[in-house]
Amino acid sequence: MVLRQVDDDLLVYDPEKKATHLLNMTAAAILDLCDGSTPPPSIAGAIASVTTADPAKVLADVETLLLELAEKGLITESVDPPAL
Amino acid sequence: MILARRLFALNVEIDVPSPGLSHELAWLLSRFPAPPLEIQPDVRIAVELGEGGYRILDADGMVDKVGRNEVYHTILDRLIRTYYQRPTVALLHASAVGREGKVLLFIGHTHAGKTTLSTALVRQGCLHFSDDLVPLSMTSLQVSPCPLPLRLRAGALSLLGSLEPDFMYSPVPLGAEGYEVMHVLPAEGSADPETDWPIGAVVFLIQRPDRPSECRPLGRGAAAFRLLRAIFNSAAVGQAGFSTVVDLVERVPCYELFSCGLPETVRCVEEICREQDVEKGR
Repeated sequence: MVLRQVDDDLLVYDPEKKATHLLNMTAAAILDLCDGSTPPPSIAGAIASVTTADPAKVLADVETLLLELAEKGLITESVDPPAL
Repeated sequence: MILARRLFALNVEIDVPSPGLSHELAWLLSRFPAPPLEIQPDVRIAVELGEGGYRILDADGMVDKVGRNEVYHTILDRLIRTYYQRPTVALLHASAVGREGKVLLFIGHTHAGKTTLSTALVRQGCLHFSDDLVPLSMTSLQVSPCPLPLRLRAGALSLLGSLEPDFMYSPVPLGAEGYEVMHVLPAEGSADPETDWPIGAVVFLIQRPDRPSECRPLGRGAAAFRLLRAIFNSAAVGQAGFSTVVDLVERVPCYELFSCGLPETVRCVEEICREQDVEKGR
């Protein structure tokens, strides 16, 4: 993957699929936190710590975004479903 | 009859079967220079009269049963396919006009009004630079003129008439697309096809008929993303194309123009030009 920061956005080029993805600041921060060992709740915790948003809402948003990143092929680890 | 032209930075030789068709193609390609005699053509295209229409042949294959109205565009299509294979040029789905030594690039979906806007601006003194296809050099970040005659649908002609009551055009029904016959305007005031120009601004054109026309600066990330989607040969240009486009948006102002009516859209572009002039004067 080729990453280019452009202002607040992150452009990601996938040479294999020859596809480009545009990520906003939050999505880019979440992608950055995807190191293969940090679970979604910890990623959401890190995001929630720098916002005033409801932590439960942040977790839901992070999980949705992780699924979108996986669909785009930007992350390969499977995302665990939220605990019931 | 052999017609030789330099098109899309290629030396092209077209073998045409009849004087009438040869004359027609020569007129359509009149803005393009003939390559020097001693130069071997990069592309050879033969047009033959076959059963049920014309046959267009080149090194990559053949297209059969082509109507007379479609010969010109089929030839262009074949050339574009040749261009797809070139990794050093990104071929943009855009139109472009030249002004004060720089190019205004208009990007938008089909029917967004790119050609109509370009035509209106050419009528106001801008240079016709390219329509529909704009080759962007990956090395110089400059664009090459492709001043083919402007093709306008009937609806566009009435819009131009509303902007300029004495607007005149040559209704040459070439380049039929489906059921819609396009009219061809001679490309008067065209840029010299042999000289590349830098880009002054990129404008993303979006039809929004329910609200007044509006133009606003576009973030560079979104601009790069949209520009990359407008590259026809994105598979060929690959990662270098990605880097080129990101470099471009970091140097050139980008706007999105929500269009509602031609006169207002032209006024928005004039505002962009004024901003460019102010910037140039600094």
